[in-house]
Amino acid sequence: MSFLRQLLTVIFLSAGTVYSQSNIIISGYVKDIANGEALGGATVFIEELNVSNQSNSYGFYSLSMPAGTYNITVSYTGFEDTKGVYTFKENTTVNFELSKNVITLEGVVIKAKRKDNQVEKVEMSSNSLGIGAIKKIPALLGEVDIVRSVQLLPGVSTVGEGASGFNVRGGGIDQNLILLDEAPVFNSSHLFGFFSIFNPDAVRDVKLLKGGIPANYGGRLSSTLDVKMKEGNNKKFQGTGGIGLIFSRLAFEGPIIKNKASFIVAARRSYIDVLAKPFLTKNKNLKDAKFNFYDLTAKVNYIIDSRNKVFISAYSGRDVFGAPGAQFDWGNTTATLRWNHLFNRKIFANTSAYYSRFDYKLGFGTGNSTFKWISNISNYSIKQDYTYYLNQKNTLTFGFLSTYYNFWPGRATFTDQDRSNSFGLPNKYAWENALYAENEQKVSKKLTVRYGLRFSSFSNVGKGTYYGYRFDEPGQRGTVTDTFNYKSGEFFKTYFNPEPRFSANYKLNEKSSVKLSYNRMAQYLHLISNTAASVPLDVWTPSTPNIKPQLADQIAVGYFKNFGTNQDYEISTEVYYKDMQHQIDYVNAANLLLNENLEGELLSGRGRAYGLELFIKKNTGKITGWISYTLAKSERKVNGISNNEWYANRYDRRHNLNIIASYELNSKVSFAANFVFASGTPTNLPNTKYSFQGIQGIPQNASGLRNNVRIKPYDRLDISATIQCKKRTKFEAEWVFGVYNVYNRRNAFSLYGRNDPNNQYVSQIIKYSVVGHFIPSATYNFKF
Amino acid sequence: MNKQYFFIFLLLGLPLFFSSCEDSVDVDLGPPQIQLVVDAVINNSKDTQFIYLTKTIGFLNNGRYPGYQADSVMIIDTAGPARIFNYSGNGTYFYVVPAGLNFKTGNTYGLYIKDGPDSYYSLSKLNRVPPIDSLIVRYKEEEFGQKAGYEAEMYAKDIAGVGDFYWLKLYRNDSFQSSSINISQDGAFVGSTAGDGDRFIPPIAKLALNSFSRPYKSGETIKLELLSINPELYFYLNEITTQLNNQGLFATPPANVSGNIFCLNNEKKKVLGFFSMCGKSEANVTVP
Repeated sequence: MSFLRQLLTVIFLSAGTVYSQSNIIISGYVKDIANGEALGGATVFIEELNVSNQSNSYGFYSLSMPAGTYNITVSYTGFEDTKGVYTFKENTTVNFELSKNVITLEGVVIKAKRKDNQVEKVEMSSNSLGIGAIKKIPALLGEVDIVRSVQLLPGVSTVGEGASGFNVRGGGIDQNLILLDEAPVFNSSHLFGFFSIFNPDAVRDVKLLKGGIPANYGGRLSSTLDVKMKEGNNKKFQGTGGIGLIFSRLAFEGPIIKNKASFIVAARRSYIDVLAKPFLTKNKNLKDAKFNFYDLTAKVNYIIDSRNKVFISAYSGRDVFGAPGAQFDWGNTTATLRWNHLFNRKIFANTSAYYSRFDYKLGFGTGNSTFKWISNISNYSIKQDYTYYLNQKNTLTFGFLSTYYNFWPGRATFTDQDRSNSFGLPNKYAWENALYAENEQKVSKKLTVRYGLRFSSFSNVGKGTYYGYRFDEPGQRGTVTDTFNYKSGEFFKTYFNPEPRFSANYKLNEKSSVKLSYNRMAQYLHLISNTAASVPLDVWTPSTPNIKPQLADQIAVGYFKNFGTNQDYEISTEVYYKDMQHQIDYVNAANLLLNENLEGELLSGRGRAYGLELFIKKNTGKITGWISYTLAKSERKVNGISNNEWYANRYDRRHNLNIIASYELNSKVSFAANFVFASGTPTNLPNTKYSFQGIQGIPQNASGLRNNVRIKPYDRLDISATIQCKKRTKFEAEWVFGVYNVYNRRNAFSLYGRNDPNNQYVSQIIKYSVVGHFIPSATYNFKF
Repeated sequence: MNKQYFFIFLLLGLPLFFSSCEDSVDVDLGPPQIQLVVDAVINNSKDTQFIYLTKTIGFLNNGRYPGYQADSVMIIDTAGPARIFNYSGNGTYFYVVPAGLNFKTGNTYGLYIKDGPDSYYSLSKLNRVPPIDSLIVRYKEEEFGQKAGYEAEMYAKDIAGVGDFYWLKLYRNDSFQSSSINISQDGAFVGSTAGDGDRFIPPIAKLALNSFSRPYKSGETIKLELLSINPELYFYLNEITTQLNNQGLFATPPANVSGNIFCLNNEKKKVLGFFSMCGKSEANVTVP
């Protein structure tokens, strides 16, 4: 703690020396002119001083400068620049409103020269996607999807179609912190992994941070995916919606008090069950089948005065599968309350309180013979973030986060006639805290650095029972040796981790820069899963005396360049190396569900991942899109597994190429295409077999190597066409036609061995493809 | 067990959306490392007892498992003479139980195999087994898509006191039905001692004895063996079931099933298979 105080003192002192008293402060917000949405990450550039500042995620910016007359340009990707001449004599509030690029009849975008974001800013290893860009990508069954779009970015991969989540720079899916308006989302999937839980009509933008992660984020090793909901149009009422093959969507937004308060409510529901109902009624077993998923997103914001603004956002979504005598459902709920407060022109503060919960229920049986299984994880958090715009050269951020977790890892109750038996795991409680401070300093015209420290802690809190284990042989299941019981409120294990963060940007010239970053991350929650694709039944478990926090150290170096007459192209290339400690692995044939001695099934190992990423993006013109290529390796080493050698992770892919392009033919018609190529993931296959007691073909991997065979590479092309319907005064509509997997490829999701059901002496290797042919789709979207 | 119900459930739902498919493909699995397999499940009946020694074969090899002849195979009785098994070819060893010298409930026996410089051993206790009170068949009309036909049901009661593990081996027309491995703890599923001392629950006493697509027809014979097994064999069989059905989107990494036979002179030498002594009850019925 004293280290942090010292750091703060040093920052204040060093910053103070360059601070000039005669400066005035210009501050305000950058917003979208059409609907009043805040634009976070917009660049405010003062030409005479060659100084720029980025708006924060609430759109706020602050700049110190001597009084005078200046040319100011404000720019934001996908929007037309705003340029103006301003004379300032004293501290002034200037709000900028930007409008989307206007395409003239000739199809030429009118733009001013501007400072480009990616060369200017110190941030690296990050990608931002506005919802507009996401909507252009051809989507599976026409359903615009946040997570599937993120999978097309450099350094991001997935184990296959239908797999939940995504893998960033060789990390597991649980190593991504997915935030929906700051609240963590524990399971980002509908229908196991085919669709993500975010309603595109309610999302404003998405930002993925893969490296050089700033000190205000923490808790997961590999990335932060920050999903921001729209605030709601504060100028006029507006409705959007759509009818697709899977979901029907409807969103409504508008001002409550014009320019002061607004709201958005968005809902989606799958309706395959409704469509299927007439066919199912003929079959008495399926008549009462339930098969749907839905989500509801709502947000309200209120500008109390020029210094205070509050936001309330909430999400609830659920998947429900049921048939007579069986039901399975799961879902997330989040709620966030935020308060933006300006202490003065230089200090912006945000206070958030949020709640998040994921739960599932599974039940079988009818009448007096039933089986019920429930599990959930919930958390309550309070968080404060300060941005202190100290002077032209220094921007200081600091704050804290405190989270209380409640784990209900799973309890099953089996009832038969008058007997009832309950088994499973006891509740667990934990408290996570973090304190951070970071300074972004413009050392010279060319060099900008950002340095900071996050200090995190995690405590297991009673009431709880925890077991001590003895592991006799590496890689083998542990046996319980001790049982410890803790009283309610008793702290029985606390971990501390200092997490230093550093980034630097050295500008080579106006159009190119090199960047370097280092970050250490600590992770205290772990998703226990050893299936090929994560299932909703997988349980989040906290670090305990037996499960050490995962730690990662990552270094990344990158080169960033813009070119083209209007800086139309952005190129970035990065290399990274990530070392991961205390990675969780599992004993062979691990029993991970409802197992009170789960921790005896877990192994701990070391991970390493490294790679090269290339990214070329074109934001303007008739053709827009990007190409991303990743060359990567992700391995781990666990004592007792795979002959104690390094082995490839299940999600290791050597090459990963994504080409995304869209073409605007005219104001009515546009086309888009998306090509994906990825090396195969490794998998386990038996190489011998034997028979026992008349049971034939029992598989054996006599080599002892894990992930011994590689699946064939994956490739796929998707296309889509968007056609605007004739515009009416208050109603706009479009059709989106698409084909997923155009050339009908049967990409392997997994390989497994099995015996021919008709002849037990014949064994086969089966390629399992989730998508077996091309999938056409049509979606109707409207706006009123 | 419940996990399997869950996956069946999932598989019902998914094809509604996607055209998931399975193709048999050719994959280079690398050279097979051949291992010795010991198959020794011995019961307390007066019938001739068998032990089989075989070798593993390459996974995609569709041939038969080659038999193996060791120097000697015997079961050592802590309270009596060693029972020497005789070789009859093709990896098969047999032992004719002398009258009145059945293996005894409650005793612990040792398996000993001598093969050149190597010797293998294992220990197993012969556990108690309850009688099968009856095995019946009854006619059932078409229901839930299941064709009309006969269904079988066993009536037996678990012995009071927890920790009894069973394997119900079903023979249809003298052919062992290996596709469904029907095992139970205290008359119910594993982890649930709630069934202790009670009648075997319907999923084990009825559901597992019947084929959904192929109900019994008149004239067919059904034989059911109720074996009391060691808990280790229970978990071994449970693991085999998992490995033989580990497929699809949510498959877990395949794992080798570990047996209970060890090499005395070289602990690194891995032998596959299992040795278990069992109590056996048997019932037969012919469909009318």
